[in-house]
Amino acid sequence: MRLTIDRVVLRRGNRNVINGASYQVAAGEIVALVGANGCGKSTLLAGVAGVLAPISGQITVDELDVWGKPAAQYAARARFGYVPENADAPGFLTGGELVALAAAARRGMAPTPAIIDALGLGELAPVRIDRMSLGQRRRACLGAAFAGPPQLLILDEPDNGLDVARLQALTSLLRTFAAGGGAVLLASHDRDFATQLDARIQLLAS
Amino acid sequence: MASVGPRSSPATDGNRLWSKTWRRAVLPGPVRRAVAVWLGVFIVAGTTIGGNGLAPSALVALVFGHPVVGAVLAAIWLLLLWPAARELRTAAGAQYLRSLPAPRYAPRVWTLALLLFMQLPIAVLCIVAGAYAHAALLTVAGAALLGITATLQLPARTPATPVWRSRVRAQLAIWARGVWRNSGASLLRSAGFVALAGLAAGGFIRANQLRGNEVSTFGATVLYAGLVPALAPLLAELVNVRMRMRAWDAALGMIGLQRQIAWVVACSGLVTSLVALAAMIAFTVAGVEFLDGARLFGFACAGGALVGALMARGSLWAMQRERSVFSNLVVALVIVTLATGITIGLLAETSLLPLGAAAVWAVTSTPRSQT
Repeated sequence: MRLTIDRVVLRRGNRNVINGASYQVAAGEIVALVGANGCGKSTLLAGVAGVLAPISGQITVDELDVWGKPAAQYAARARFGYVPENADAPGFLTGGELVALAAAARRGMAPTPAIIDALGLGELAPVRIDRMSLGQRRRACLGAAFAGPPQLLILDEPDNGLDVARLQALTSLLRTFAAGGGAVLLASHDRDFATQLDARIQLLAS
Repeated sequence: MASVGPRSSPATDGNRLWSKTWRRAVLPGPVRRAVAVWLGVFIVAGTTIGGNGLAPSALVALVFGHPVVGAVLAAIWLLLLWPAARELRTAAGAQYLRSLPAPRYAPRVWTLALLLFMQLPIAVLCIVAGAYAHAALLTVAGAALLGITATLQLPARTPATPVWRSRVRAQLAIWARGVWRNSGASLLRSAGFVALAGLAAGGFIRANQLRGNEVSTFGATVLYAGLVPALAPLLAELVNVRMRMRAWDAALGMIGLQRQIAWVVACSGLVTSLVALAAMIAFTVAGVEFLDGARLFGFACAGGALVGALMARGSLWAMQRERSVFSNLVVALVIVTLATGITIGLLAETSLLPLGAAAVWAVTSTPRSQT
């Protein structure tokens, strides 16, 4: 598995937030994007995750263009799991339905019992997302990201809102995922979190 | 020295402020819902009452003379207004206000007044028919029934975690949940309007003693007019859910499903139309001959599929504009249903061909994916 971000330009409103960014993430690697507020970490991850279309440049997963023709798009997007910055999944869904949707979309399976246990997904399954706290929403979105399973995780501030126990569980899950050949691209304000993950830190300048 | 008028006590001021805040928090939602129901009822009534043949007095006599008809219409009326009455109890804005010391009677008086006010179309119908006692009776009984049913506690249900075996099934199930959970009241109202559309078409046929080709031609046209208020809120909610799911669909690779989903929406329009047709035939069972029934069935299928297919196109169109343009969607739906009725009126059986072709075109010209 290899994620390639090649000279990507991403725009929000009338401003180019990302100007020609190029990165690579290989299998077994954890890459942490670090930078000041507003430097474009979330924008870049949204582009990689197929949510925000780039103005120019190319984003590929195993040579499959995330923004290419529909067949390539589907094949590329089926390989990754994404957690957005605010974990703002549609509020009318329950935690269980969000995970089931992600599994059906990737034509895969629900997360393993170990992941369900580590993230506490069992107690979130019947709860509507618009009645969850930020930390619970984050856990539900992480559960959906792990469904499939994916080969790449794109995580926008995955530690935000999690309590200490869940944060430790997430750290352990991500290290295990990378050790098993998965790749992780994440954005975080917390360098300690990146250090605990043994992540390769990439500084994103404004 | 100028005299100083009597000052109200802090408690009275507090009560007044509380009542004012309660009215602002609670009343707008139910009033909006009730007005939407009134508009829909006026559309249906406009096609069946007055110059088109069914006199208000005949309708009132029908309701009181035939207990089954009266009971069915009362049930539909309750179904239409129940969501508005329910919102009086469950308005989110009022939750916090309950924690404050509150005046005892003001909310009850306002609730009762609004429940009575909701019955205005029925009261107007009876008054126009000269049945003043019936107006008073139906207004009070309707308000009382609504008030009682709105307080019923619905059983709480814990949703089971689903397993979807395909992307299309998952997508459709998610949309159905979105529409039901965001706008379940609209669904109930739509069900009421579908039944009302069928009954109105049946009433039109009976009142005008239509025979032969006229049964299917005019019956189908009145039926489509009644489907506008039934389908418009569903269409708007469909757009809303699609908008909310868009980023997630993109990230999950839920692409290339648009045309399959357009087929399903077209079929749902067809089913809706057939349900209305069933209500209509049930109401005019003695007056519809087999051949006219078969023609009606054909019109209902072709017209319903067309309206459904155009709903799918309409929601895509609204979504491409990145906002829910409800009024435009309603206007488009009115134009489509009117055009469908006129086409049936002008071309009779031959209209099945262009209507069916238009439905197929609307679906097959839907792009497979939208990125």
